[in-house]
Amino acid sequence: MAALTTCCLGLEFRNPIVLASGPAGFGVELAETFDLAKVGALTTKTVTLEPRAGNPQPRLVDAPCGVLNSIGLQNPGCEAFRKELLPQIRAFPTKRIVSVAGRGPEEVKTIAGRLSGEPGVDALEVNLSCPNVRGETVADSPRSVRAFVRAVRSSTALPLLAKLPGEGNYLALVEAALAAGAGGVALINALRGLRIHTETGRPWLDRQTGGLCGPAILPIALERVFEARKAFPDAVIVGTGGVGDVRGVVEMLCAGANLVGVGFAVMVDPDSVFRLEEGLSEWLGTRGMEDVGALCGAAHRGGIHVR
Amino acid sequence: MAGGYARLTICVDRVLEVPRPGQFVLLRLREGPALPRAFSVMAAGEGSLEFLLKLDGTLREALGRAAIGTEVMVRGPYGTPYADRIPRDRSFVLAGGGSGMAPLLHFATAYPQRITGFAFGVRCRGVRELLPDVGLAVEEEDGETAQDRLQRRWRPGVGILACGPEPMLRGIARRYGEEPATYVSLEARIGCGFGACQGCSIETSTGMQRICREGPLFACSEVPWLR
Repeated sequence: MAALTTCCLGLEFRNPIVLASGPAGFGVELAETFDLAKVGALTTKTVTLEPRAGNPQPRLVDAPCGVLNSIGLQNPGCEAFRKELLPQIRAFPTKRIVSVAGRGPEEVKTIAGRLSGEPGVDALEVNLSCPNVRGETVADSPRSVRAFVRAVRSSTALPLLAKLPGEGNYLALVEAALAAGAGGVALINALRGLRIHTETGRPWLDRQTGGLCGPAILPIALERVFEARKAFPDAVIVGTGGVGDVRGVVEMLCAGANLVGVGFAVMVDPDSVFRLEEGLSEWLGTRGMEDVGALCGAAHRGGIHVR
Repeated sequence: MAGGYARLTICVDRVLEVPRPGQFVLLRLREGPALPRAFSVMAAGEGSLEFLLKLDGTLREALGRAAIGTEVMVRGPYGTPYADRIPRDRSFVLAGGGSGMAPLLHFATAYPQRITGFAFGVRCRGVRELLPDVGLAVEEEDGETAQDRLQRRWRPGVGILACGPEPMLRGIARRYGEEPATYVSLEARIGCGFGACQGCSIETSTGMQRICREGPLFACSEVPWLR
């Protein structure tokens, strides 16, 4: 059996597979059917200070090799999360990364402060790149990324990830997040996209644009992770975007990810996601590789050196 | 296939909990779309499921025209069975339009004693060949719709279970929404199917609810925006 244990952010993950924020919700429904110990970590749906109803229907529309979503950060708010969801999440046999967002640095700082010290919160991920909300929740310049990360850093000692977009000058955003004290970055969020209803000529989604996720964005996510690893050899990177099978996990690790986020695949076939651990172990085993760590960043070192 | 619809039978080769009336399963073909789609079950037996598909979308057309032996990925069942959302002491008229008839036929098979009548309607007469004889209103024959039929079948004190296109549901909600037992089975693009992703959440009088989990059946009073 190859070793899948991955240490980063000061935590020990059983394997490098992380349920990305969004499709898995708060993990409560998945836990009814699946053994969460089969994934390295669960990232919760994003929690905001006040409850949010999210966007009106339609929120999902098919895209070639993926889906456009515009959920819009629907969540019960920080207090309900603490009282009702956290006691359940605490019991999950995996690491728990809580995703947080807010209207401005002060708001996220407040949430981070309230969650800090709560048993069952292993790390925070500040979502700075939701493609489905307007205005100040999104940090799209190095300056605002710095302000958000600094604010959160000042209110918690928890391991901290910054979830960044795959669009724009993302390398500058990675640099800003790391310089401001983030322990690592999650790359990439869903990419902004659009679909038009051909009978009406109007956008499909009520909010018009949405975030594209699924296999369609895998090559883009791989490129962003690859470039980020090249620019920041020591950064912790959670590579997310379109990964749904063992090959995708291997590609993402080789591109430079320490951990690999899985989102869309949870919506398509959760069963397959909980078999990734076994599949990855087998993949390594058949190649005589003893440790998954050998894959991380292999593409930058001339590839996998088979024993 | 007939009248723009298809009746599809899928044999299930792995243990799947038998869907109860109102529940749905997610179906996917290897060639896509990537995200599976939700289909209400028309009939469920040991090891097989039946569906009524309108042949108007990529996946529905592909499923309708699929050759015998085509492999279909099935996940579910999901959703709250209709019987768990409605009062036990009342009988119902079933109002169904198009493929919305499917879950109601499933309900009728399971609970014949709770039904006082059918108000089913389609546009084209061909669909008759695909369904049991429930006195289908066919718009192209005499202009009669499921809603017209409902008007003749409904009596005060009787409940309504409605499933069909949104304009039909809106019409029923406007006319019978104040009655104590009018229920509508709602639709949205379902994401995960099991309640996690919030892709199908809708606003209700008691907050956001998920069509795939608390639904698909809602009391008209819970969804006032439908009127």
